[in-house]
Formats: sequence, structure tokens, C-alpha cells
Amino acid sequence: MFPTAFSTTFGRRRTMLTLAVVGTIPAFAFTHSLVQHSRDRREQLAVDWARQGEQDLRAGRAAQAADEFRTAQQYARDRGEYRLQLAQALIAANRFVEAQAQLLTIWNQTPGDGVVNRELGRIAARDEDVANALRYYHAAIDGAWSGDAAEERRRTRTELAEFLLQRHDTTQAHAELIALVGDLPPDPAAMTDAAALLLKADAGAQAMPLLQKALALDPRNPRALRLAGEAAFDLGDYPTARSDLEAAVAEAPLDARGEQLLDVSTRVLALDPFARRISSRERLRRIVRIYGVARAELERCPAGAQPDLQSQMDTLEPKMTEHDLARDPDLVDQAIALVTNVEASTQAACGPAQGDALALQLVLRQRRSSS
Amino acid sequence: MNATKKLFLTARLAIGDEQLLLLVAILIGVYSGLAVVGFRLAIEWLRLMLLGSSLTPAFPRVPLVPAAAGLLVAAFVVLLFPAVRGSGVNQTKAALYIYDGYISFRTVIGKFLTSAIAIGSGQSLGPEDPSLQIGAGLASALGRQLNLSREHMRYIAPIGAAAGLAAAFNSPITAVLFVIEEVIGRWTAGVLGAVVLSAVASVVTEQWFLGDEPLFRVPPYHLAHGAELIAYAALGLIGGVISLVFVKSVAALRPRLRALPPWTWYLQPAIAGLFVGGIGLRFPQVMGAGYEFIDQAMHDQYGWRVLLALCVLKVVTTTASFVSGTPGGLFAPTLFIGAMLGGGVCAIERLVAPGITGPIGAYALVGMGTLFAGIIRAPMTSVFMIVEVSGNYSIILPVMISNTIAYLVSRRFQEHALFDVLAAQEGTVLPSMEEERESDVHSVEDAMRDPTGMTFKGEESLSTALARSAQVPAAPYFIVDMGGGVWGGLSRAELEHLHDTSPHDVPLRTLVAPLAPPYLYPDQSTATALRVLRGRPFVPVVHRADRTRLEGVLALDDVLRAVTGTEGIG
Repeated sequence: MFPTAFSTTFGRRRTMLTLAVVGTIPAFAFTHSLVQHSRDRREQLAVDWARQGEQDLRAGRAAQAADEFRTAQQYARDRGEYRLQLAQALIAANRFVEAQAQLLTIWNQTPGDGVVNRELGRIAARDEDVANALRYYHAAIDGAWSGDAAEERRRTRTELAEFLLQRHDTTQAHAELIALVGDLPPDPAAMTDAAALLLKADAGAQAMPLLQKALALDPRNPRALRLAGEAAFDLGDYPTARSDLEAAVAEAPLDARGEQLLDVSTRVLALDPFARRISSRERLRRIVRIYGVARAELERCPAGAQPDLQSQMDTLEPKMTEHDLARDPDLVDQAIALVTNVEASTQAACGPAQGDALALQLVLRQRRSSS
Repeated sequence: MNATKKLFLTARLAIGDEQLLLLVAILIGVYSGLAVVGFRLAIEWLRLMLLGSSLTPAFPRVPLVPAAAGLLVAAFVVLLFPAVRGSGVNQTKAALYIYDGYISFRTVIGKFLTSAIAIGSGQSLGPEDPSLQIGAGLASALGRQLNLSREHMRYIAPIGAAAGLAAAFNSPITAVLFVIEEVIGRWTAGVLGAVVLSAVASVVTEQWFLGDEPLFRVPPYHLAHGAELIAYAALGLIGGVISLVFVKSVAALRPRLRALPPWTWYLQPAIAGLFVGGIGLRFPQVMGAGYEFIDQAMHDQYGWRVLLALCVLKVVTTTASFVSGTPGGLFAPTLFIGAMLGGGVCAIERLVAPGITGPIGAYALVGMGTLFAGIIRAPMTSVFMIVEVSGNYSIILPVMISNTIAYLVSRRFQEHALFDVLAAQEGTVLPSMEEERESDVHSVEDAMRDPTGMTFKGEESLSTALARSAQVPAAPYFIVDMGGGVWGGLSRAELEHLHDTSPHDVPLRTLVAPLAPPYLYPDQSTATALRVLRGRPFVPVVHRADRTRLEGVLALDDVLRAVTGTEGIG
């Protein structure tokens, strides 16, 4: 009796166990088909909602777009791109805190993603959070990009340099720009952009060769010519500055700053008594002229008119003719010394000058630095 | 004869009962995983069909759909599946403690169907507790088909429950801990292996189909400032109070609604649905399980006013849905309430002390654990659940602080845990795991006798021993140190018998047989002592580090005296 019952139980158990094991196969197949159907439907819903979000974002309805991307993201939770689009829509809607939280979640999963790091860098830069801005921008520069990675990295470094320049951190900006110049493609526009930033970072010496390269590729590029003129002006090379700015104006009208640079360069070249390859007569004529500029500057700025300077000017004025100067070399030195003193005291009292007075300041500054 | 031999040979080659249980546990895990995947798909499909694909469904679907679905669910529950009311946790415990593991397959189907309709239509309930009951029911059905022993059948429901919960949360550790902490109540090696296997098999199956995405995508956590822990403590305090409000509301309203005439049972889920839908018109976040909105709260999508409003409204809507008898779980709403509360506390802290506030996602996570500790009162599970669902171990410090405070507040002002209250209201007396955990455990040290005067050296002669025994007339037995950590023993009657039959000058060692190990240690429980005392009148209690050192003597009488506080039977 016992063996029969035991055998029956054992046999039934074995049969049921076998059935249960084998039964997993159709159960898996059935569940698989359900899941596949659900996945397709979710995927389609995600695509539809994302498409609607893109349309709304393009139409400027950023808040609505954010809601739609959020819905898309719910239907495709493993797809980071919808969360990124959501973050970008939130940024467009000026909801930076929310955007940052979304971006940090993606960052947690893919800390090397270039786009995510750049967006986080932008938010940090907007919040004046320099440490995090530098951290995320650098991570973006070193990060992974789909598409043209080199171009995205250059664009990111450019953004970083611009942020640093806005904060007047020219040293750090300069370092970023030097790295940027090393990665530039042979593209005049990219070179010109980088040179413009170098000029903002007071790095005319680095900007100049870059602009020369750009002009070698595109000699009539008005922006490159204009910036080359500015670079030359900053470096005190007024002949080059004038020629580049004149070339630029021949291609396209100059901006106000460009016009001013051209004007000042022209005046410097016309006033400079120390210029090479001018005749003695012309040199004396220029000394007489700068004396007149100094006299006018003294009248413009009475605060800088120390009593002895005024009396010295009055004493020397009758002798300020080409004839007298030619006869008395000491008088030339005396006149130049007096003009230099006047320029220094008026600049100290009344700040930078305009027109010929500014040109005179530049001439004397160059003279000082060369001596 | 040959047939019998063949039979026993087959039996020897066949797997044993313990191994069979492990194999069955894996099968339970697989089937539960598949069922939970199907359950989740059903909820999603119903939600899309009934409320549309937008996260914020509009009028007239809201509030009409939850109300209409409530009518249907009520009809199913009252007419076809009366056992599916509630969350499912107590039903699983009842299967373990009352019904020898029996959960009808009809209940599984009913739970699947009614919970999917309720949650899919927007009732403020979650899918985890029903998943737990579905897993337990499938396990019970499989166990019956395999004709498992009574002992294994009793444990089959918790094994299935762990599988169902693990798949629902996509987190096996949480499920194992919850089942051990809240359903079984003790770490039994035999069943633990099966519970772990079923949970793992279930999660593997679920991830096979739905991927290994964690339940929540959490932004990186860091403690912004040490003082932030004060905010987490405050979160624990507030969480404890809100837990109390929720538990007391459910405990007070549920029996009142059940006491109404039976015809109202058809209407109660519909009215609850209408109520939830009415709130859903302005705050659609409170409808359904709400995981997508927990995600949003973690990503700073709401201001503090909205977060706190959602916290309060979810308490109200979940209470309404649950007390109406609508089948569905409390885990997801608990997490929702906690996430919103945590987010709200963070948002307010940012206004007050912006420099020392960490990310809102961290507060939302901690808030979830806090409410779980306060409402469900499973403190270990609440800590590990947060760590597991977020995959973030560094958050454990604030979680522990906040959860502990919420748990203590909840316990201070609410004597019994929610599931115990619900069981009592159902008229079922189930063991309270919380009370069992905290019941006094008597140790051997509490019960043993001081051995002073009751110990003889093995070298002592019988006459000396007799003389010394006369000085302790109350001692019923004596221990003999045989040397080298071996102890012998004899009763007073045995000693007197030796006096009559043996020479008086021989050492005791030659007359007394050594007591066979095991001996007892002072820190062991009296339950262990009872097992060791089986068939032995008394046992020496020795030092763990030095077995030659006698700490005491323990007899059955001593155990009874310690446990009952009386003088015992002897």
C-alpha cells in the first residue's frame, strides 16, 4: 500500500514539475509578444510626443514643449535623448533649476556626454558658478560627442573663453584660447573668431599671426582685415593698422570702433615726428604741429595746466617755427620734452584724449617704449 | 521485492524535499515575474485606453473614468472575488499562519483583474502589494499541484510574495527583507534560501522583458552641509506625523464604511473614484500609482506649495480609495506621499537656508523611506529599499536618521502597525511581526542557577562530596568537573544511591559518567536551552571562551520559572 501511494505521489510530482518547467516556454513566448506590442506602442507614443514637443519648441512654446518631452520621456525611460530635449525645453522656458536637475540625472548615467556637460556648464555660467562652469565646460571639451566632435569641442571652448572674458578673467581666457588656436581647422571664419577673442583677451601678438593666416586663405575677408587692423593698432604698428583698415573699409563699411581706429592710425602717421623715412623738413613741420596739439590740449584741460608748464609754453611758442627749429637742435629737444610733459599732465588730470591729442599720446607712448 | 527495491532506488536518486523547495522557488520566481510583467502591462494598457496617453488627462475622462471603473471593480469584488479586497499583505500572512499556504487561484485572477482596472483608471493605489499577493497565489497553486509537504506549503506563500514584490519593485533585496521582516518574521535558513532564489528569479525574469532601469532616476546625491541632517530629522518628524494621520484615517474610516449596508459596497469604489477624479482635475498627479510624478518631484519640477499640496491630497485620495474596498496597494502611494513631503521640506529649506541645502532628489528619496517606515512600519526594509531603488549608497545616513524618527513617532502614537490594524478589523488574528520582534527574549543567563556549592571536583572522594552536599540541602543536582572542559552530573538521589553501593574513598570521576555536549552558554535563548535540555534533567552553562569555567546550571524548571515568572513545576 505504502509503496504504491509513494510511487503515485512521486510520479505526479515529477509530472507536474516537468509540466511547470516546460510551461515556462509558452509563458515566456506569450509575455514576449505582449511586451513587444507594448514596447512598440510606447516607442510610437514617445516619438509622437517628442515630435509635438519639437514643433512647440520651434514655435516658441517652450513650457508646452517641456510637458510634451516629459511625456515622451515617460514612454521611453531608457532613452536619454528625450530627457535631454526636456532639459533643453526647460532652459528655453527659463526654468533653469528644473533643467539642471534633469541634466544631472543624465550626467549621473553618462558623465562623459559632451552635450549634457555643455548644457550644465551654461547653467553654471549663468549662475556665475565659476568652478562648476569650468568643470562642466572642460568635461564637455574632453567628452564624447556624436557628429562633428572636433567642431563641438571648439565651439564649447569658445563659449568657455567668452564666459571667462565676460568675467574679465583674461589670464584663464588666454589659456583657453591658446588651446583653441592649436585645434583650429584651416577655416578663415574660425580663425577670425578665435582672433577676435584673443584681442579681447589683450593677446594681439597671438591674434595677429592667426589673422594673417586667415587673410592668406581669404585675403578680402572684411572682418579679418578689420581685426588685423585692430591687432596691428594694439601692437603699435600704425602703418599696417591703417592699410588693413583701409582694405577692410574697401570691402565693407567699418563699425564705429574700426572707423575710430582708422582715424587715429591716420592721425598718428601724420603726426609722428619720429617716423622713419621722412624728410628733416617734414619732421620739423610735425614738431611744430604736435606743439600746437599740446597747446590745444592744455587749453582743453586747464586742470592739467601747471603754472610752469603754461609759462614754458608761452615762452617757447614764439620760437616754434620750422626755421628756428632747424637752426637750434636744442630747441627741438626742448619742445619735445615740453610736449611730453604737457601730454602726461593732461592725461593724468583729464583722462584719455580724442583726435590729434590721442594720436599724440600714442606717438609719445611708442617713443617711450622704444627708448 | 524487486519493485520495492526499484522504488527506493528511485527515491534515493530523486531530489530531496529541501532541494525540491529550492527548485520550486525558482519556478515560482519565474512565473511570478511573468505575471507581474503582465500585470504592469495590463495597468498601462488600461490607463492608455481609459485616460489617454497624456500625463495630465482632462475632463470628462477625469473624473468619469475612475467612477465608472469603480462600479465595475465593486461588482467584481462583491460578486466574484470577495477575497481580493485590500492590499494583499495580510492575505499572504493569513495563508502562512492560518490556511497552510492556501490562496485560491481565483483570488489571483481577481486580484490581477480588479487591481489593474482600479489602478489603470486612476484610483490612488499602487501595484506592489497586489503583485505580492499574485506571486503568493501563484506559488500556492504550484505548491498544491506539486503536493508539497504541509511545512513547505505554509512557506510557499511568502516565497511567492517575495517574488511578486521583487518584480514589482525591480529590487530583490527589498522584497526579501520585507517578507522576512513583515510576513515570516524570522530568519529561517531553510526558507531564506527559497525566498532569495524566488526573488532573484523573479527580478531576472522581469528585467529580461522590461530592462534593468531602476525604479527612479535620481540626480547625484551629496550632503551639502552637516547641518542638513537637522532638516532630515525634521523630515522624519513631519513624516511620522503624516504617517499617523494616514494610518489613523484608514483605521477609523474603513470599519465605518464596511459597516454600511452591503448594497453600498457596490457604490463605495465609484464614489471614491469620483472623489479622486475630482481632485485629479486640478492635480492629476494624485491619480494612479504616480511614479512618473515622483520622478518629476525628484527633478525639481514643482515648487514647495505644489509639493505639499500633493502630499496632503495623496493622503486624502489614497485613504478614500483604500477604505472604499477598492483592491490595490499602499506601497506606491506611501512612496508618493514621502517623495512630495521630502521635496517640500527641501524646497522650504532652500528658502530659509539656501547655502546648506542638497539636491531635492535626495530629500524626495529620503521622504519615501520615511513614510514607508512610518506607515508600513518595516524599518529595515525602508532603509534598504531606498538604497536599492535609487542605487545610491551614500544616501543611507539621512535615510537612517529620518526613518528612525518617523518610525518612533508612529509607534509612540499608534500602538499597532497598519497591517495589524487591518487584520484585526477583518477579524483575523495574525501575529504582529513588530510585536514579536520586540517581545522579551529570555536568555540562559536569566534562568540559570548559581553553581556555587553545587560543583565537585572529579578528584574529590564520594564521602567528601556527600559531606558537601549536605551543606546545600536545596540543590537537586550537582556538577562534577571531570577536567579538560568535560563536565559530569548527578542528581541528589543518584549521589545517595552511590553512597549505598560504592566505596566511599574513590574519586567521583570514576563513578560519574561525563555529560555529553552540547553544553549551554549564558547568552543563548531559553528556546535554544529547551532544545538542548530535551531528554536531560540539567545542563552545565559554561563560558564561551573557557569551557572549563562553569557559569551556571540550568534545568527545565529554571527555564519555566524565568519565562513564567513563577516558581516552576518542580
